[in-house]
This record gives sequence, C-alpha cells and structure tokens, in this order.
Amino acid sequence: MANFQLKEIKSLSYEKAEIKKGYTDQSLRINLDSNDIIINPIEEKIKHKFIGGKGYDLWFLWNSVSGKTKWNDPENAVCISSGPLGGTPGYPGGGKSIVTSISPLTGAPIDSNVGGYFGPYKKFSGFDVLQIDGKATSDSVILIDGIENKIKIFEAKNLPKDSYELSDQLTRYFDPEKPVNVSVVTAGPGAEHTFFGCLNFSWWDAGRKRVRYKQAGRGGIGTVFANKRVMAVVARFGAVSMKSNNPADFEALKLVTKNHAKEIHDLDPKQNRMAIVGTTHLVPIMNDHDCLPVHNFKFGSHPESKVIGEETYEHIFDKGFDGCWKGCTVACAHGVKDFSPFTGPYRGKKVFVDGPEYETIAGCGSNLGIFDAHTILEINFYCDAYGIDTISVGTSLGFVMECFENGLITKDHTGGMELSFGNRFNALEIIHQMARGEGFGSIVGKGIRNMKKIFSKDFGADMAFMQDIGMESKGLEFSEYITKESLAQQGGYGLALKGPQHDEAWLIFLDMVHNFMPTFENKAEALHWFPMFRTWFGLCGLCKLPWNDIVPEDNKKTSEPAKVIKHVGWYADFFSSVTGRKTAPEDIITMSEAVYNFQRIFNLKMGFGTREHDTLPYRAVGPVTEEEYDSRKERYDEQLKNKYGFDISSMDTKNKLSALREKREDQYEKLKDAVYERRGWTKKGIPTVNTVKRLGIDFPEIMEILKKNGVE
Amino acid sequence: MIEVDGKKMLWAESMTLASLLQGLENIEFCSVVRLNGRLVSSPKFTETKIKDNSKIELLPLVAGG
Repeated sequence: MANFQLKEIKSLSYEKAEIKKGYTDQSLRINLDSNDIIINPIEEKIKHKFIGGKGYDLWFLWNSVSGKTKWNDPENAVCISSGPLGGTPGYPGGGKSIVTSISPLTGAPIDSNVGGYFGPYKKFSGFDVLQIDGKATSDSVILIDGIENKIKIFEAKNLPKDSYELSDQLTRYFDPEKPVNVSVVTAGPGAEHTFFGCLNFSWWDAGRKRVRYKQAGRGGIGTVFANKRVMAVVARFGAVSMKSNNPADFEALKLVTKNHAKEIHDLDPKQNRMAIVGTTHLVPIMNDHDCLPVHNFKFGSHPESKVIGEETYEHIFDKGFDGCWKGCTVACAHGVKDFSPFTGPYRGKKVFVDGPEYETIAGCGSNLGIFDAHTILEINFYCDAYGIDTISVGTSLGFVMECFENGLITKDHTGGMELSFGNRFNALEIIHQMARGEGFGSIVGKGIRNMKKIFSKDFGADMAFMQDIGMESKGLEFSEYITKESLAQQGGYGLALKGPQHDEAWLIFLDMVHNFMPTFENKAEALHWFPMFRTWFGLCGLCKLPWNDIVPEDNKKTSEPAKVIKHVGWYADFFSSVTGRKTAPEDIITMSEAVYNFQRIFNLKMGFGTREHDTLPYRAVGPVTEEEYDSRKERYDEQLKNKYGFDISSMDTKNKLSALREKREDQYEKLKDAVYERRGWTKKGIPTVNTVKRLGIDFPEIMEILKKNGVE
Repeated sequence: MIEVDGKKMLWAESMTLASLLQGLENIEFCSVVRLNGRLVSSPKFTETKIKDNSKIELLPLVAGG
C-alpha cells in the first residue's frame, strides 16, 4: 500500500501534437530551477539532419551546455528521445529510447539505448524529445500524461528509494485500472552515491501482472538524474497500434514488419534461441574462443564458466513472453521469479530479477571469479534496484580485486574486507555500500579512473601498473569482451565516441576467428561502416539485435554476410514507410555519419575528442603480466617468432612481454591513422572542414571549435 | 543418418564436426554449431565426434552484444 505523498507544484494542460510520419515535431523541456514547462517546435532542418533519438538528444544537449559544463552543473541535461520509428508494435526491437547527458565518468556526452515503453509513450503523448535540466530543491516526480494531456511536476515525500519498489508503486498510483498505460524512469540510491548510476525504464508485464524494467546503463546518466533530485519521470499513454506513428505508407510498413517479425519467429529457434535464453548463449561461445573476461580481463576462459551460461539460465528463467516492447519477436528480456536474496534489504524476501544478460554474467561473474548463477542474479537484482550499471560495477570490482591480490590495496583500505577474486559475499557488500554511499564502496563507486588516482595518492599504489590493468578508456569502464587478439575490436573500443562500449562495433569474430579483415585498410573500413550503421538504430529508436543476431537462412551465401544486407534493405524500407523519406541502404550510413561526426566534435567542445583520448589500457591490447603471458605462451611465442621475426631462444618472459608490447602498441597507433583517414579526420582525430561540409554540419559554432583546435 | 540444418546426411563412424564442415559449402563464417542442443565452438570442432542420429544446426556469424 502506497504511503507516499505527491504535492503538485506545477501543471500545464497542452494540446497534443498530431503525429505525422513518426514525428510530433515538438520538444518538451522541464527546467527544475524554475519548474518551467516549455514546449517548442522542432525545425525541419534539425529533423532532416539529426533524424531523432540520439541525434535529437545530442542536439538539445549541445544547446544546453557550454564547453565548461560539468556533469553536476544545473545546465547539464538529461535528454530522452525515441526516434521516428520507435513505437512500432510488432516490429522486432521497435520501441527503444535513447538517453544522453554529460557523463560523470567521462566529462563528455554519453548515450545509452534502452527498452521499456517510456520513449514511445512520451512521443505519442506529443514530444519527440524530453530535456530535463536545472536542479530541484526537493525530491521531484515529473508526469507526462498523454491521456489527460497534462504535464505535472510534483514534490515527493516518502517515496521508496529503490527502483524496484518505486517503479511498481508509481505505476499502480498513476493508473491503477490500466497499469499497462504507464512507464516509469527511475534511478535509485546507488545512482545518488556513485558515478555510474543507471536509469531503469519500466513496462507493465501483462502476463505476469508486474512491473519489469530495462536499464540505460552506461556512463552514469542515473547519477545526473539523481543529482537533479528527480525521483521519477512517468509517461502515461493509452493503446498503441501500427497506425500510432501515422506512417507515410501504412501498407508498406505492414509488409516490412510482417516479413521481419516472421523471420525472427521462424529462425530464432534454429539459431541463437534468444526468445528462450536471451544473450546467455554468448557465455559458452566467448569462453570457448578465449574472449570471456576472467579475473579482470586477465584471461579469456575458465572451466567453471559452464555453470553460468545458457544451460543453467534456460532452466532458471521464468517462462513467458519477455519482449521489452510490444510484440517484439526477439523477446530476449528474460527474468527470474521468486528469487530470494541472501544479503541486503531484500534478504529472505521473494523478488523478480530482470536478467541477467551476457554482460552482467561476464562482468559480475567470470570477471570477478564468481562462477555461481545465484550470486550473479543477486548482484543483478541489487544493481538494478539501486540504479547502478552492472558493467561498470563488474569491471570496477575486477580492478579492485586484482589490486587487492597484488597488494596495491589491503584490508586497511577496504574496511577490513578481503577482496580476492571469487569473494562473492564481499563483492555484494561493496554493492550495498555503494547504495548507502558508505565505506570502501563509495570509493569503488567513483569508477576506475578515479580509483586509480585515489589508490595512488592516498594508498601509494603503483600508477603505471594500474594504468595497464584498469579497464577504462575515456573514463568509462569496458564492457565484457577480451580484445587482446583482435586489433579491430581494440579499435572498436578505443575509438568509440563515448568510451569502450561494444554498441559501436563488435568485430571480434570477423577479425580474430575468420580473419576477414587482414589489412589496416580492411579494419578501417569496418570501423567506419559498422559504427555508422549501428549509430542509425539509436537515431530511429530501434534495437540492433534483430539486425544480425538472427539472420536469413541464405545470408551466408551473400557477398558480405556480416552486414546482413537483406535486413539493411528492410530497415531502409521501414524508414521510408514511416517517414515518407525515400531511403536506400546507403543513405542510412550518411544519416549516421552526420550525427557521428557531430558527437565527435561535441567531445572536442567538452575538451576531449582528440587522438590522445582514444587510448587503451595495455591489458586490452596484450598480456600485462608474466602470468598472463605464460597462460598463452604458445600463442605469444609463435607471434613473436613468425609474425614479428624475433629470435626468442635467449629471451626470458620479461623480454618477450616487452617486445610484444612494443609491436602491439605500434599496431594500434597505425590502426588509429587508418581509421581517422577513412572517417575523414585529421591525424589528431578531428573531423576535417571538408568532412563537416560534406555532411552538412558546418554550423558556425562547429567551425569555430574546429578552428580553435587548428582545423581550418 | 544425421540431420544438418534440417537436411538428412549420411553418417560415418569417424565423423567430427571439423570433417563434416569441410564437406559443406558457405561455412567460412561458421564458428559455432548446436550439436544435439548443445553449443560447440570452432576450437572444439576437431575433437568433437558426431554420433549417429545427431541433429546439428550451424549458427550464423556470432554478432556479439
């Protein structure tokens, strides 16, 4: 029974904009300093250039912040947009929201792509993009009610702190008769006390009659949200159909939706079985290919990993429809019911865990030496409830554990906790401390880049070693793949605009297993095409999984199977049918390129975005320690002899490590040169004037930033 | 007999996943198969023997997260 109080402090009735061809052409701004609710039109030229979703978010964020804005300044904004195709029921992966903000971890724009119903409900309520800026003086809840056509700001008291309870209570409060009409965005106490807070986006699971949620995990957007004292943003909307986007060509939309949905329905059971196991199939596959992070990315496989993959979770997941958007046939958002945590505030209670996905299993399981499906579930549950990113949590804790095992930190620093790999109880205790903002957990919650500074300055730890093993780049913790044997994926992480997240490019198998891109030029081409194509999903409000995780049966016979050209064609048809903008597959790349380069220049505006920021910790490139080298001695010896021409007969392991490092680091720098050239950037990694002119983003402010950085 | 992607094929006693794949077309991007419901990855293709009446599905190119 809810016993919280919501006091209305501002209300605005509005006339709902008619949706035309996927757009409302309106933005909604909530300024929490003044409690102003501002509705503005979106210009046609902005729509044409930035498309929607992440493109809109970045444009509104760009206009909200200056180059000096820090993550906790009032002008930093949290922007949420779906995109013109978002909210198409039945189209696989057709209901995503994209969120951006200036990140507490990186100081630059961060973006995160998330399921749940919020983005579509917000759009159908009349707004392509939501911008929240300013800071409230007390806990606040924002309501966008597309049924009553009202926007309200409430002062909130006695709300539950954690997302698990908060999402549930607000859903039932705002539409007790039809909770399916409500989607809630929340953070949690961990978001308030760490730098890697996530946002939970909810939907009502009609089959199970409960609230479910997915996470906008990366880069600490939840931390910004909590810092603004926003407890929740709620969208309320009624029935949604394929006509809700008012598509330009309804029959064409029906056809492409039917074709793609049918293919997923027919082929997923024969391929990855994501409707049954989610992404847990990746655990044994990555393990067998030496790509599963184990012990802070030191190793790529472990014999015990067999108990934390699909064979285990398939039997634990609750059976039923698990789409995070209406009618999605991928339906991979699985969960576990009646789970009983053995620690923390929910100890002994029965809860529903949304997850785990591959990243959580790898980051919070194998990477920490925890090969226990139950503990991974518990970490998953508390990270979500507390509003913290499982990827940053797993990668940060892996770093801590390796520092502990090497004596860089001791029990004197950890509050008496033993933090060797595999210590599941203390890993959980750190997570509870993060939520409370207490103890050693409050240091871990600042992320690896900050931990390195603290461990060095306050504990006297060896900074050079920590730089090598601390799996962060640009300040963001790595997602969960070993990249030592894939130069292309080193680029996929190191050259990613927001930091090392795999959503820009995932090239490990093409490169490492199939040797599909043997030259620097081949790799550079892949590091152009794939990031551009994947960016487009974020512009349109889509999920990437239906593109290449389930593929046509004859795909292997095509000239470039990795691109899944048949699906690329369907996406072009999807875009044409909704927006009326006749689109060919190659147009998708151009649309993305404009936004991609804009984001690179946005990094530059914030003081980053140049070559020296595209660096990697050496652990992502090669073996740091003798233990690591010896674990794959045959492989590394062979490379030194046959690939690099060394006579290793008189070399000890230390010398071999050093020789290999020199070669591998040199390769990565050469890769940067090739990729920058392919992308139309200078040797410093800055888009050239010709590039921004070709893409039509040569706005005065952009030209000024380029000029300041020596590009004219 | 064995079944590969829904098609019947003759079984041989010494058959491994590696030897099976050698005789198939368009398998350059096949690094994982499902053998009687269990995932087997390419590093284990040579050592994995196929029993008679097995059902094999060739998974598409691994696409990551």
